[in-house]
Amino acid sequence: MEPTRITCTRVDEEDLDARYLAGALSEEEAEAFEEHYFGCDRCWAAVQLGLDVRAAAPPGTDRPVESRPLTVARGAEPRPAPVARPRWWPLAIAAAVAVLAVGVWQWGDRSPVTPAGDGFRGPADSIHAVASFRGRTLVLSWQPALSADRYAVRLQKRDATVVLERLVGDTSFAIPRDSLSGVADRERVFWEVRALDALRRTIARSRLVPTEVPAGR
Amino acid sequence: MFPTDRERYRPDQDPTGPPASGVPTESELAARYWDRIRLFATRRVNDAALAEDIAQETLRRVIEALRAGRVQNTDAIAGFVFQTAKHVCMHAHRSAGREARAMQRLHDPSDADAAGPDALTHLVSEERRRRVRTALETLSPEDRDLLRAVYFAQVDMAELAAKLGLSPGALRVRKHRAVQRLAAALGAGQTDETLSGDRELNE
Repeated sequence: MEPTRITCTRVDEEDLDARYLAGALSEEEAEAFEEHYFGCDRCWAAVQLGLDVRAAAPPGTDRPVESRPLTVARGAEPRPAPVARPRWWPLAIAAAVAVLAVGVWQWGDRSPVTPAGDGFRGPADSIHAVASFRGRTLVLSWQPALSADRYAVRLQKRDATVVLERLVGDTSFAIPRDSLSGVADRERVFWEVRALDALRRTIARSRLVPTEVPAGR
Repeated sequence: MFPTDRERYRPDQDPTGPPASGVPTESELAARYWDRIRLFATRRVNDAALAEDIAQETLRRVIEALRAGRVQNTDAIAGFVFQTAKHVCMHAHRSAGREARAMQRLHDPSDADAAGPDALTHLVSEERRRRVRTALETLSPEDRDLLRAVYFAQVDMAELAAKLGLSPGALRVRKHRAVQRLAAALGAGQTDETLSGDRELNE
C-alpha cells in the first residue's frame, strides 16, 4: 500500500479500518490512516463501529492466537536490561547527602508553598446527589456545579460493574427499572455523578449514593 | 453510530470559547476529536487512562493555539489536532516508558514481561458493549458472523472471501451492508448520549 495518501475509496478497497484495528498495518500505514480519520467522519464512524464489535465480544471469548493487538509494537524500544541489585550503602550515603543539601538550600528559601490545585481532580462529595424513585423509575438529582458543561451519571453494582453510564446536560436523571438489565430486584446499586467541563475533565463529583432496584411489576 | 452520539451534540455557543465565526468552540472540539485522540493515543501507549490524559492535553493545546490565533486556516484544524496529538503522545510515551521502567525495577524483574489487558476494551463502555451485543443479535446470522470474523476474529478479507467462495469485491459489499444494518440497529436503540470510556483521569 502506498502509505502517503489515504482516500475513502482506498479505505474501502483495502479494508484499512479492519486491518488497522487488527494491528495488521505497518506503522507508516497506520499513521497515515489515523491522519485520514481525524479529518474524515465517514471513516471514523467505520473505525468506531469496528471497535464496538471488537469490544462487544461475549465475556470470556478468546481472541484468535494469530491476532495482534492494535498497539504499536514495542520491539523497537530497547527493553531495559535486568538490573543488577546494587549494594545499598552507597545509595544510602548519596541520599543522606542529597537530603542535607536540599535542607540547606531550603533554609534560605522561606517563600510560601502553594499547594497543587486540584480543581480538575474533582474532589469527592463536592456534588450533593439524592437518589429517589418515581414508581418503578429510579431517579437521581443533584445540585449544579459551577462551570459544568455536562454531567456524567453512572450506576454501578457493588463489585463496580457499570450498569449504566450517561452524559446529560440536566441536573437530574431518571431511568425506568425495566430499562436496566443485569441487575436483580432489590439489589443494592450505587449512583455516582461527575461534573465535566468542556474538555470532559472532572471538576466535581459526588460520593457513591446507594439505592435499591425496585421489585415487582 | 453514524454520526456518533458525541458528534451529535452541538451546544449553541460555549461562553468560554472564542466568539469568532468559523472557529470551533471547546465543546465542539471535544465532541469531534476526543474519541479519535483517545484511540490514537491508546494505540501508542496501550493505557486507556494515559490516553485520556493525552486527549485532554492535546485539546488544551489546540484551544490555546486557536485563541492565540496561531491556527490561521481553521479548515485544516483536523491536521493540526492530529499533529498536536502526535507531539503530546511522544512526550507522554517517553515519560510513561520511564515510569514503567522505574516500576519494573521496583518489582520482581520476572513480572516485566507480563502482558497487560487489551486497552482498547476500555475505550468502549460496558453499557455500550451490551447495546452492541443486543444490536448484533438483531442481525441475520450471516451478517453477525461476517462482522465478528472481520472485526473480532480479524480474519483477512481475502482469506475470508476465498473461504466463502466470493470475490473480494462481493465480500466488501456484504461487509458494507452488514455495517450499515448494525449502525441502523444501534441507532434505533439509542436514546441518550453515552460515554465511550468508563474511566476518568485525575481521580
